Amino acid sequence: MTEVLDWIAIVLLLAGAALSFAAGVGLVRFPDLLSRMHTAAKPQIVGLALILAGIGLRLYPDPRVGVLALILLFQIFTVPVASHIAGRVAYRTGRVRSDLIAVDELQEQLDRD
Amino acid sequence: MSTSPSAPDLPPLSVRVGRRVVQLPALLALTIVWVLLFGELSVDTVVSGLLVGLAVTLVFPLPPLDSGFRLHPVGTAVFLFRFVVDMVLASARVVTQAFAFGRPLHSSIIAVPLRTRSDLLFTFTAICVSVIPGSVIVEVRSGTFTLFAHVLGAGADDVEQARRDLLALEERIVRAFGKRTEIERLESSGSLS
Amino acid sequence: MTYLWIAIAVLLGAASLLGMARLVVGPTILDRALSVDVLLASAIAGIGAWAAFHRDPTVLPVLLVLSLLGFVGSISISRFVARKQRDKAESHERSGTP
Repeated sequence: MTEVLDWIAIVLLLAGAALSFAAGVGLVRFPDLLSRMHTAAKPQIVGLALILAGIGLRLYPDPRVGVLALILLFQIFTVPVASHIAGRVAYRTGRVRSDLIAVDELQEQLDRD
Repeated sequence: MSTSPSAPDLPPLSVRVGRRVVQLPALLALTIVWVLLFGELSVDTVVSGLLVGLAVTLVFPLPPLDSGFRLHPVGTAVFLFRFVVDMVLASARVVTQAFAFGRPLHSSIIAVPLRTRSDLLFTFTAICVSVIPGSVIVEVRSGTFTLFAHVLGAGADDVEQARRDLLALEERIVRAFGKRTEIERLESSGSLS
Repeated sequence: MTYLWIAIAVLLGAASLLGMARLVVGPTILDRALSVDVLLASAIAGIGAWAAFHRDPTVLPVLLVLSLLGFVGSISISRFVARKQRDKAESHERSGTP
């Protein structure tokens, strides 16, 4: 039984590590800050969720794995807030490459204000 | 949503301690966090967690959350399921875009006026938008309940689809956690599904 | 199974290196804040993988601290950038009007 759990855990860990790696690739390859924020927000959270699940399976009978759920919850709630604030500041201070943006309804709104 | 200071009616599920109001859900959540931190469910951890939570809620009081929060079991199940599916799909899309060499990546910033008028649901939608396929919140107008989302890899043709996705997410959240008035407002302004 | 553990370590190490590259290159301070965020997430994943490999739950609180640290760090950097920009705009206005 533990053998099976171990294999599931290692597959989850591997998938999570692969997603972390993909997030790193996106971080280097995307052209502007707003696109890079996508990599910080999505593959990172899913990768972390997979890795935390893997850790949980490896440590399963230990009651301290409850912390893992807490970590995931904090990440899901804090990462979007952090990336929103970074994106807002980036936009407001003009650190956005407008040549890469096809439709910009925020600029229209700001022009109207 | 705000109660005038002259009418001291308490938000639901709260007790008055001296001049401060303790919201029991917040106290319960803090206790659960404390117990999870210690990793064992015993009388010691629960009692100490309650004491610490009480101290925290008394020293750092929060403004009362508006009570526009109901749990609909079916709606919540639908929402959670779609949340996980969307999160996986979103990651897959970002990963393929990260490895797509050669093409310049164009994006759009769209304005989406939401239909809900509850601060709590609005905030919750804003958080969840960051995990559904291809969007990150750039700017929020809480006065008009409008979200401005940056959509990765969306040209001028994909804007309407992204807007529909976002409104569908809002609809799932309202159906999962909204009060009846919120759901009625949603239906009167034209349901999508 | 050992090879899979090695693959996990290599992938996480490569992710950290890519984050580090963006930290060095990143044109603006916000890019760097973002890459620190991603680096911290890689660190959480790496320490977590270590805990899973050794079946050792003692480091789990460290993961919790790291996950909150990233949030506080990137928010304070963003606030700092916004404040600095505003100060600069104000001083421009003051010096621009004779």
